[in-house]
Amino acid sequence: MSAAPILRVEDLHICVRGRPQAQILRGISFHVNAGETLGIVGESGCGKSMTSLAVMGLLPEGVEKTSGRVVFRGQDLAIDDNRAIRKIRARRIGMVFQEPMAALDPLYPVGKQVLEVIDEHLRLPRAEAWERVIDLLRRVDLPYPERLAWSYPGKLSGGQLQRVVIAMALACNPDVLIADEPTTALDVTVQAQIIRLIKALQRETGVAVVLITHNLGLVAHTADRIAVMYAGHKVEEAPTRDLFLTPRHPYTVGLLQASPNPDRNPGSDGRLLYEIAGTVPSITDPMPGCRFAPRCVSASAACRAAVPTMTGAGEHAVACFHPAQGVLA
Amino acid sequence: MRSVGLALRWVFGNWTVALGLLLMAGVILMALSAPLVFPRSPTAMVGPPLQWPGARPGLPLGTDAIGRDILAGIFHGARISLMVGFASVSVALVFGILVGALAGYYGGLVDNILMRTTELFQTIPQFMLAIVVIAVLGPSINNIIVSLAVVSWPPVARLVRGEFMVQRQKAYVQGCIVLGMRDPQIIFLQILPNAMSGVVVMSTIMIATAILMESALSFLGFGDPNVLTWGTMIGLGRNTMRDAWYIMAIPGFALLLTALALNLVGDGLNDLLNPRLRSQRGTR
Amino acid sequence: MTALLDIRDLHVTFRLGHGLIHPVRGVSLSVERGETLALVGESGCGKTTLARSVLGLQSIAGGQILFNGVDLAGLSRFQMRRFRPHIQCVFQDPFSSLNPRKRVEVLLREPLDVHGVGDRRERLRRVHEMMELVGLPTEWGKRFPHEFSGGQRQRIGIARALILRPDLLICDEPVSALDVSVQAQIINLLQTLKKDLNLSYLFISHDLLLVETFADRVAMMFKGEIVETGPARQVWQNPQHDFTRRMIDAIPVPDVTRPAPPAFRIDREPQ
Repeated sequence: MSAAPILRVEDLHICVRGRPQAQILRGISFHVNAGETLGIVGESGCGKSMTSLAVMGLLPEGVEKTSGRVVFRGQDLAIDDNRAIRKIRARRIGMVFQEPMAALDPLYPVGKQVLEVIDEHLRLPRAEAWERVIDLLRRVDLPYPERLAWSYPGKLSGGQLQRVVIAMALACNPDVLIADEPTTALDVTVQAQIIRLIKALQRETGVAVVLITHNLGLVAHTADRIAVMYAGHKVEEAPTRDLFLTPRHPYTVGLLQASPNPDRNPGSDGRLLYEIAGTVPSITDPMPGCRFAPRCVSASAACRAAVPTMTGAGEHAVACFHPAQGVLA
Repeated sequence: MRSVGLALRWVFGNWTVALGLLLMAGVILMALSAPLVFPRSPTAMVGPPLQWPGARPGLPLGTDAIGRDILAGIFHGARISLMVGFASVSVALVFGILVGALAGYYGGLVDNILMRTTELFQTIPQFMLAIVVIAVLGPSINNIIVSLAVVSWPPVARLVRGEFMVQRQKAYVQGCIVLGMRDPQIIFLQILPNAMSGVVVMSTIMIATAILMESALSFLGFGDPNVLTWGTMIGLGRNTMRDAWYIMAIPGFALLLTALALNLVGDGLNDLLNPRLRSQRGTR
Repeated sequence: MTALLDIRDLHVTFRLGHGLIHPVRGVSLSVERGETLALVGESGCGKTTLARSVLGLQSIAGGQILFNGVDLAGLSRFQMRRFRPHIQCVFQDPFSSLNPRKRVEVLLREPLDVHGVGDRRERLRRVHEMMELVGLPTEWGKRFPHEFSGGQRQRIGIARALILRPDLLICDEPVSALDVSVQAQIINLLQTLKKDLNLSYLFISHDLLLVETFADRVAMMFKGEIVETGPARQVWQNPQHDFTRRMIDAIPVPDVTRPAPPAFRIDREPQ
């Protein structure tokens, strides 16, 4: 098996159409290898959703790519060319989004919708295709799949709908699954079921997973490696354990400290949670330096003057002039 | 300051809106200046009958079958049309908003009663109902305004009701109830400002419709016999349609331009007030 | 000492189509003065319906809602009015919880107008005082809600709810729609205000991990019933009811030194 990453994003720049100063992604690079799970973590405004849309060639109307490329299996993916990317989308790269009802048509039974994906990309005879639909629904742990295939989306619960969407995403045995906040709209117990499902399918098929979320707890226990994004930049990337035990970027540190953690929670005795002061800068803010500097406790003049680039030994890289040292308290 | 800029951009950004506003300005100017430019009643006989436009100096649009100045008729007719249009729509709006707001806010039995009433008015064809009201009240300008208002209010009520039903569920309304705000305040001061954009757009179209209906009523002879409106002028031109067709065509054209102007402005308002209706990105 | 809020055997039913649904089934819970009681449950468990009942937004089928000993359950809207300044709420959605057509200053002044507090100058003073308390510069009073971020809008919502100095604040998932770093800011703000203004909170959430960080007591709600109550830390460390245990088993803690949540493990039988 080749050691090259199956999907690689190189220096992707995306901005508001016609306004090159309003940059949504400011040079994002990451990669994911076959069989592994990459977690992309960030809060609103960091551009993580735009990243997944860009890879799929689904950038909305008012947004355009200015530079950078997406390489899939060694080939440059022309994400601007809708024709070319349609062959890859769903067939080789599957997607799951936050709202299952956004991906499903309320007027057609769910089985038909999974069938649609199969018909579009695999030339299978009707009977075989339908068998595959039932099989997929069974593999995503939906009960009575032969019957459920004829249900309309309105009759199913959020968790069941998300399973259908996963079935659609994996229908053609893709190499990569991009899941953008797949469980945010679900209850925590249903979330666990969905995560378990994705992990099981990954073990079965060897699919690479890109899990995009704001939930640090989620990636702590599902991702092999994590990339942290802030305001259009990638600020840190490391294997999961390293990121949580020895975070280097002040934003990562802040995020970890602000996340509820029973071992570190102040409890009700009046002490407060750790806060990151300030707010995310707007995309049109023309800061010359590090975009986290206004909120950073370690910021210096150097930070405000230039944007730090990713540096680091081995697998742990960070874009910071004053990375944190040592272990997280 | 921002709204001024927005307004200017709207006007000059769309040629259709600019055109609509220009035409409206023209009609309004005619209406306002009528008593100054043509101080004599438009029903006065000022010249030989059946003069073609331009045939005689001082009568740029000619005269009709008994020698009335057509241009004077257009100017004075503009006055009447605009007055009837705005007055009837204003009454319809007040009534329609009230009915719609109460129905949408309270729901239940109140909604049922109000909506059945609205439907009753809507099942009768608009124009027929207008004629019936005129027949009952008698043909005068005021009664025409009343009849047009009676006929125009149901769509307003429906629209406002729909908007209110949506807003009613929103958290800010719940918050106002929790604060202890009384219903009238919530309905008129909290929700109504948020429900108005659809109504504003609809009202421009309603004015156009009212003007056209008034003309139709006058054309058929149901109008005020003492007032010369565009519709009346068209009606009077019926007998000489073959040879002096300009007598019908000119007021008809005036109607066309006025209705067009209102529609263009209404369309532009729609784009301005509902920018979010433009398609959002899909997540597929 | 009577509890500030004492809900006894509350039942709420309503018609849906041709059937009757029973979202709140015999719930009893209390909020003591000065405490934060968190009500935790998954979607559809009835926690929001319960909150709405306490606020008088939802009619109830049976039971009592005692506020300082007075039963709010049967009161008409008119009778409820005098209690309004004492019980307020903060909503989940920062985008629909503020009237988009009103400036912030007006939004904060409205509660004072409705209850006739002070004169014009006094009201403006209180508005500015409240804005400062929640961390908003007073110059921003002339702006409209859409000019603010989600976290800032929640601050405005909190200010509006607290300007009448209520005794009880009901928070319905106030931070669920916010980023983690902003969540922490808002929770800290609520904690500080609670101390400074002598408040009690009924905090509704689906996030047990979050409420464990600051709540005094937790009540777990499942299918319309309260299944477990106790001090927050205890419920987390030593859950008694099956539902609580299942939930805790599924919560991923952002800590790699802990094992993965049992519900994530793919070697176990699916529930």
